[in-house]
Amino acid sequence: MSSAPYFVPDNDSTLNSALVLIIVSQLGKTARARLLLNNERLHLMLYLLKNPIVMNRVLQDLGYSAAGLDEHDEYSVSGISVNLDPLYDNDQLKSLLMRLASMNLIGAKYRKVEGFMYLLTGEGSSAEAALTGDYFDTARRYVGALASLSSVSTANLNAAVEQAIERI
Amino acid sequence: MIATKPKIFIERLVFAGRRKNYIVPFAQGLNIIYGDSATGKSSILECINYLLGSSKFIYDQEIESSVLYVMMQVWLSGSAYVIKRDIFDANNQIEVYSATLETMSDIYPQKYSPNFNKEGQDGYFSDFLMSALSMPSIKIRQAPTKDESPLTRLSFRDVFKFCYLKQDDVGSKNLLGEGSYQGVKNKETFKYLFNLLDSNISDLQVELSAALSEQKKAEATYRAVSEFLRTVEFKTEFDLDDALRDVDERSGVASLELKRINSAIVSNSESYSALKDILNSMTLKIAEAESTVQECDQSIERFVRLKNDYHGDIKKIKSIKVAKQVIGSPQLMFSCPLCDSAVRMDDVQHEHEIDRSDQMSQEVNSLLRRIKDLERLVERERGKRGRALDDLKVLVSDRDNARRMLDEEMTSAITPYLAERDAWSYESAKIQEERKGLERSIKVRNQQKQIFKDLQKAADRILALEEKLAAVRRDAPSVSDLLNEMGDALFKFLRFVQISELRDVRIDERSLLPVLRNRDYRDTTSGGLRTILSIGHFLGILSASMRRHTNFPGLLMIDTVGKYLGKTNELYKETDLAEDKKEGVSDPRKYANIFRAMMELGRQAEEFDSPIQIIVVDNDVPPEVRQSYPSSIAAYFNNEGADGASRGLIDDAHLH
Repeated sequence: MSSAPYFVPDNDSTLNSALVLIIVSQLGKTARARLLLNNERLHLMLYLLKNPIVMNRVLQDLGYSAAGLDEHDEYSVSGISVNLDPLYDNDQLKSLLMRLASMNLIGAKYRKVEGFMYLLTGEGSSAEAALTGDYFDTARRYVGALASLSSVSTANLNAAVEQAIERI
Repeated sequence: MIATKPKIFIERLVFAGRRKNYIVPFAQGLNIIYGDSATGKSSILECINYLLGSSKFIYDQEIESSVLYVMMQVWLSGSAYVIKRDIFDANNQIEVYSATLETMSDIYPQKYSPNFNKEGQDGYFSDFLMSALSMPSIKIRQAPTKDESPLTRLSFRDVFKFCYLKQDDVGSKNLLGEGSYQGVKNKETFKYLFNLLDSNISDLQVELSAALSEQKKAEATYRAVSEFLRTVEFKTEFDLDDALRDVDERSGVASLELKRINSAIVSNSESYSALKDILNSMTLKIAEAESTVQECDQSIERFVRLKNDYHGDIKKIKSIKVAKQVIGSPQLMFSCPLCDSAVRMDDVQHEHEIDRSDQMSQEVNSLLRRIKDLERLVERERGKRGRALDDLKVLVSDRDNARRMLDEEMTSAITPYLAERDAWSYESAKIQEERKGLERSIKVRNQQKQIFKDLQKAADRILALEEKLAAVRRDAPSVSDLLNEMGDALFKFLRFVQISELRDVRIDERSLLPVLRNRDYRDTTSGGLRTILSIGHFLGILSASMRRHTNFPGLLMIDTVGKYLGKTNELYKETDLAEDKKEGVSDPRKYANIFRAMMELGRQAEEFDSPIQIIVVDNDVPPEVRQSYPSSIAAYFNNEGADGASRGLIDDAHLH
């Protein structure tokens, strides 16, 4: 999309794909193998993971314990200026899912009412496991915190996110 | 003799003004006020009339804008009074001080109502004047010929009609209201003046008994007041005077001391203002340093936040490398994970991807450089902030020092005087209080003296009434005697003035007005002749009052002697010019003779030991009178202020 001669690492599709893998890996299903992530919920989770300040506020608002934030996330320019565009940009998620599907890293099941539900393939699981480094460790820690939101309905979650953004 | 005769002697008239007081002094005998028109001559007579109880005072604009109230020092049958009256509201009570202008502030005034509509605090003004002049206060029949006629009160105003010949009345056909109801009352008043009323003796007896009971009342009051003052051990007059002098001395000392202390404080506090300047400039510098620190804080925050963003980005770029190795590049064609149908990547592919790994490491390096730059910037800001904080520390301690010095300076400069100053202020306030108390006491003492004076006056009045009663009984004056006497006096006056064809001169028994050449005053067509006759008649009354026991107060005011005598304005048309010419009334010798006659009357009064006062207002005065009797000129007004003459009654109006 952008041909400007500088990188916006946050928007890199490989990086985002990796984050989707981590989310689906940890939040994709319950202990009893019930699938949890449809398009909308996956989108929300990705947004919260990438905006940890909003994430912590939502967790606190809903009565869960917040994640300990990385210094670079907590005290930064992006932490005090929330970018709303990705929250309403469905195309990006669509392209990420398509890319992961093309490489057979992610699978999908269709369920009435909720639509497509996503899970990792065997290749996807091993790829996710191969993602190492500070950044991914932090991401896993944040996703672990997001796991406590599993029992919150997508509609309530949406409302909580909107409220949290308003207050920043 | 004086005590038995009512006498009014006006000594000083005061128009109390906003800028200054305008004072007109008067003497016994003839007083002449002359000058250009519209200089306030007539206002002087009107003002006297007003101060003697007339219902209104028509003043001109100059008086309205310059004068607050009017006062007059007047002797009523030998006692000095100051009469004070508001000029703007004629219904306000008239204040009467039994004192002179100099001593009036020592006593409380009596307050009288100017009219009979509503009784004043101390009664009616007319009653006060009648009683002060020992004139019996009586009621007269409205219709004198009928015994059962309702009675009406005879007031001082009725009497005063015979004392004041207004400009409109001089030579007027309606002199003394002839032919009207007022004329009937005036005739009764005339009889009253000369004790010719049938009821004079019985009225005098009633008056005498009233005066005796008043005297008793006054005696009782005086005894009670004196007893009371003695009981409460009130200081005597002399003690009070001594105490007042002492208080004034102490007050002078206290104010001197206060002045000295104040000036000492002022000179000592000069270093105070220098310190104050230093302190102000320090406070400014401190504010500057504080704002520098704040700016540094803001910059540091911005730089650190940005640095963290860069760190985040570096982490992300490194992670991208890892992810690339793990995930790899997408297939161009793949089968749908749900339905296994083929999907082309091109349909959805528009994504951002950082491709080449060398680009990525360049990016990381540039970010690292930027982080270094930021760290330097942060370092610089921290240094700046530190310096600002150091400065601040020094400044704050300097300021505290300056403040302390200022406090010390103030303490050392002013404190030593404070106690002293407080003490003297307290002393001064105490003295003022004491003085007020003394002033009150003195007024009380004076009031007691006043009661005593009233008592004496009552005694004098009784004496006067007794004498008068005896005189009336002895003389039993008859109307025809009086009229003959007055007719003779009028004849002499007319001859003195040099009226031609003098015959059949008398006072008519019915109209009580002059008759010349068998022609009634009213039927005289020459206005000038009427002027001379009217003045002659009033002078005749004044003259008769000198020789007899009368109720006439010995005062005559005439406004414009020269009316119809070829001198006055054209406003007055009640004359036959041809007749005037035939009579030769504009002959300056006649005019001068009228003034001479008045001078002569004044001289005779001295002979009779029955002083009179004549106040005359005119546009001009015969030069020989001006030269022969300069002391009789009470006031001279000239519009231009030429020859050092006053420009008018309100002599500073042209300056404002």
